[in-house]
Amino acid sequence: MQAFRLDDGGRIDRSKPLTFRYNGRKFVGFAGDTLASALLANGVSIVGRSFKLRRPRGIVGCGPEEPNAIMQVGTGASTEPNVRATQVELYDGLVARSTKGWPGVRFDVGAVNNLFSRLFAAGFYYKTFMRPRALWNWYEKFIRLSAGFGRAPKESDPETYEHVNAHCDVLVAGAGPAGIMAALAAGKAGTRVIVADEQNEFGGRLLAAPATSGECEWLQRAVAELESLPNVSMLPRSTVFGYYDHNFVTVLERCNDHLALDDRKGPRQRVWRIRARKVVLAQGAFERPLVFCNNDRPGVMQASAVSTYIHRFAVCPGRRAVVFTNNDSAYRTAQDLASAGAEVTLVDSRVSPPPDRRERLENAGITVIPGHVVVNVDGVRRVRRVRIGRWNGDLTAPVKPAISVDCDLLAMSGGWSPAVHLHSQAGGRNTWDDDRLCFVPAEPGQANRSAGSCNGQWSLRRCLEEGRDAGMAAAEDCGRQPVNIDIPDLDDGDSHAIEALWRVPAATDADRCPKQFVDFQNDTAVSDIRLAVREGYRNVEHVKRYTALGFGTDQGKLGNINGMAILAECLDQTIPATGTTTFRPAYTPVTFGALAGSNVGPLFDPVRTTALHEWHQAKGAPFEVVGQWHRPWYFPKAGEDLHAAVNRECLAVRSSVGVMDASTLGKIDVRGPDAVEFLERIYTHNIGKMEIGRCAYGVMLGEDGMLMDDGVMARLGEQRFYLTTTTGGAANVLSWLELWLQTEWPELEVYLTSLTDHFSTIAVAGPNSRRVLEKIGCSIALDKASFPFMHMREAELAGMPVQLFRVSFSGELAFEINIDSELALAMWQTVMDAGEEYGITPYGTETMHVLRAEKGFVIIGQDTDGSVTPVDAGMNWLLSKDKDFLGKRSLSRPDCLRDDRKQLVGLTSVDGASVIPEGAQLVNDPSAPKPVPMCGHVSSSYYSACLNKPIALALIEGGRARKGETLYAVVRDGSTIEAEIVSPVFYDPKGERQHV
Amino acid sequence: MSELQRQPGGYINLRGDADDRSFLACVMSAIGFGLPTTANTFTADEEGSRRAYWLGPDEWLISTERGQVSSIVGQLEASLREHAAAINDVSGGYLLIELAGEEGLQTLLRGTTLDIASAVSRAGHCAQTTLAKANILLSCIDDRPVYEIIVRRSFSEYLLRWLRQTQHSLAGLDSSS
Repeated sequence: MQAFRLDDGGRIDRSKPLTFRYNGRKFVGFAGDTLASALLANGVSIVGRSFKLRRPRGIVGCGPEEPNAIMQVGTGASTEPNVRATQVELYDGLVARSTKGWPGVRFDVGAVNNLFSRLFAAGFYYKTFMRPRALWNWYEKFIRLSAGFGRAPKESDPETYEHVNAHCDVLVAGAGPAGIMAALAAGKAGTRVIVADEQNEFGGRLLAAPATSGECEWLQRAVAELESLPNVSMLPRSTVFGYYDHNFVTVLERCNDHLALDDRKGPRQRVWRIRARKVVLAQGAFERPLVFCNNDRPGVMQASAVSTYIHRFAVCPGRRAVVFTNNDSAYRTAQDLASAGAEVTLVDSRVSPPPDRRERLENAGITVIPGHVVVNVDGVRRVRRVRIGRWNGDLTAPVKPAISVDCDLLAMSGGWSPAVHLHSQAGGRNTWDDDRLCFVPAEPGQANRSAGSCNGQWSLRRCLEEGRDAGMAAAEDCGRQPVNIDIPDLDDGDSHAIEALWRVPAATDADRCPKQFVDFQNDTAVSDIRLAVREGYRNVEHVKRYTALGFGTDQGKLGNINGMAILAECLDQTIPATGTTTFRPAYTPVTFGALAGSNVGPLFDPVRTTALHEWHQAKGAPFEVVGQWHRPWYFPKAGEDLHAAVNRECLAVRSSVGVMDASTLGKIDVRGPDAVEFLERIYTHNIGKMEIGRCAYGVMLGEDGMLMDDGVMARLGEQRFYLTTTTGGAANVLSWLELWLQTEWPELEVYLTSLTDHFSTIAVAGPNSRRVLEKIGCSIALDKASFPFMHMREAELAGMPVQLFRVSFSGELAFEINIDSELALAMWQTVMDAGEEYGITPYGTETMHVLRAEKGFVIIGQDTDGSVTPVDAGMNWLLSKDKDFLGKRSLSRPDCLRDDRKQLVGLTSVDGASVIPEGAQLVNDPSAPKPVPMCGHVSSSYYSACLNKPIALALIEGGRARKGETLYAVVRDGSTIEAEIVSPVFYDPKGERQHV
Repeated sequence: MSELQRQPGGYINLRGDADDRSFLACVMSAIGFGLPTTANTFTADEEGSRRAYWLGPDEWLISTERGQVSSIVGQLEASLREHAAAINDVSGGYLLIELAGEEGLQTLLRGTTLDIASAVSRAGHCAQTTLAKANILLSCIDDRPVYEIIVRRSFSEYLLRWLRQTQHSLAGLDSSS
């Protein structure tokens, strides 16, 4: 039963009834309705409870400024909280709940708060729950329970979202009269235009014009013309929500939210990331409420919203209406109400409203009461009566109610505030206009223009003209010949005079009268702003945070200007001197899903894979994430866990042969006449002395002298080197080298080329590794004399060209095979086949870590953390005394020379069994008074199968001089493990095994 | 929806001094056509089977059939013996993915911030940019249009997954490929 629905008119389709549920009850609306208009049509007056005082609240507006009708829409994983019912298009089967009110909006237990509203003034939480401090955790549970609007789903979101990038000459934000004219003007001139509007239909305020009016006819023609221009992209249901530097603008398009669940396909929402040469802002304006006692009662609405509901949705929200205004625009609402059959009284604060306006209303049977104001409202669940008194303009003199008018609707208009949000986000300032009583955009901060009512223009004709001019100017700026277009003869005949009325004084002490709300969503009243000022707050940003004025989903779109004017009054200063709070993105709330786009799940971060990845997957290897690479962690056989697999893999390498995919190593080709000189400056060891075909382990330092990266390098020619870097450091090292070449040493003729992806690297390690390669068939001799340790050779292996390196990260006899990645799988398979008789064992990163730790080889980034020098790590032998290199000078800083720096040492558990957790802090005396002094930490720790005991690497203050001493590792559960400081080389300290 | 595939090819990374006319002449004699010296363009031989993409003021990527790589590398090395230059076979490092038509364009728009209409809509233009979160070399090889994406091998699986999901999304299908 849509009791408030008009019999005809409106942009709704009465042939398409839509069923929806609201707070568990079934209702029917029509296609073209919003949830708000459908609720109003059904006579639902209470849509929520207020934030703090739990007062019943009704629908106030018809757009993003709506403070009260905040809904939880949808169910289950797809439910969305914080949605404004005024912005939800109705669809069949829609399910919505109020987000405030327990157990329900009509009866809310929390409404008792209202009885004690004086206690719940600004700063209530700070003052009340601060002491005793210890109880905050207890209070917080209850405060959190009652705070917020709605609940986020706990399930993961089943919907998909996407981002689209677009470039255009002219972006038009808003498709009201000004925006449409701008898009037409720019589009006809041939520029690439994108025009976005948050509503389902273009038209803005014209959608609220009577269906038979000239406005509606023009709108239809203009939209059709826009559609016919191939260079104009039209985005309905698309909110321009962010304006960033360099005319980068973001738009949220709601692709699916208006469709019945079964009809939805493709992404739910889309974020457009638009780079525009010129932007035309035509977002329109917001009508301000008026501030009087109990102005938050259900049935008190914006006048313009009432007009919109009547003409656009064919819903007349009341039968006996009072219109309260301080300006001309609400006169139209009074007429609209009368034409919809309502009984109307208009109360105008101005003593002399425009006579022609007044006459027009009176001819329509509307009572006009000039020079009066609404002081108070009777009725709790719905407006019943308004109290009206004579107004003499004196804020210090309370207005006494003299007249009562019974009504079920109060339409208010306190004037208009241009939506300067995007202009402000773009860095533009605003100036106060004393005639129009609003902030209007001043100089734009970027290449944008404001047009129409967001620029403070109220008359339709001026909006159309400004839109056209802005579109033509933008086209001209883009190098196009501007095309003039005619302004339709649509003068709405409205005058737009206004008088200041920021609040209606109801008592000498505004704190004693019933609440006069400024921000409905946050329950901020005049008394709260006055209190904030009394307590010393002066800056508008501070007052905002103390009173919560302008927070919430509407971000002050409704109440902020009133609040600032009242603050100005309290501070006895002007409104421009008081200023506004900062306008920040997002203009309206944006879902996290939309911001994430498709970068979720497996696409959250790129997964880099080697050419052998599928082989590893087929063998059931779990993967370890190293940088963005997924590396096989270990290769479990049936029934094996990590430790069993790693023990087996380690023993296989030490006793026979193992094979590892080392393709993720960074690989850089360095060439040029100055390659030696360049590398001398980068690495700490002597490069020039390296013979061709020789490999060397090298480290590079940051300018601070700290270890930055390491790897094996090889000299391939007189002027040609091949470097390897750590897996995670590859990109950084290449950038670092290019940085020095391009910015500091441009005189060096050196060229760098990344070979990381070109070469796959297969490491064959263990005493039988040579036999495996010989069995495969190698074009060169592999014996110790022909191909000694730390040398490289170009060769053919199984007929495939390879680079062979006799290097070892395990301490065993080992070869690394570099091969074109396209051939890598074939080579890997060849190695596996040839190694079968030796029980060749594929091993992963965990075994690699254990093997290198047994040898005391560090991993940069694990055993170092950016504060470890090569001296700390025991690499003095790597530091050339004959040359300068990056970071060398830093090593002689006094701090780098301290004896008690943390130094790399080995640790063994005294009990011979406990594996110390990595990251554990080390203390000399766990029973020392707290805080117990810490003397180091464990950086690597494993069980060593071949040594049959746990081993660890640690960084300990002055550690090298403490070998043989014991200390304690502190475990998270508070227990300790006693450990002895030893050499970091646990296995084959003389390095004989790799030299065979 | 087009079937997306990764194709191997032959690639040579070349670095040298573009201000040195003799360097450019030597390269031309080795590969049969001139290197591009205009940013974000590529040149090709007459059959269009070999191309040279501009990567930077002193860096190019030459693409060719895989079987031709070693002979071209040999010719370049011989021809540039007197020059400081870096010639590297990087064939294993890249894979090629082709996109075509309006669907291809719409896919690209969802992953790259590049203004495709002005950057690579004309044949002979190329750009190094990101697609989703992978670096790519993007070029338009004809006016149908056909877009070629050259991507580092290690990112190709990620990129393929992203492309497939995006095409599913464009087709209005459920995600997950």
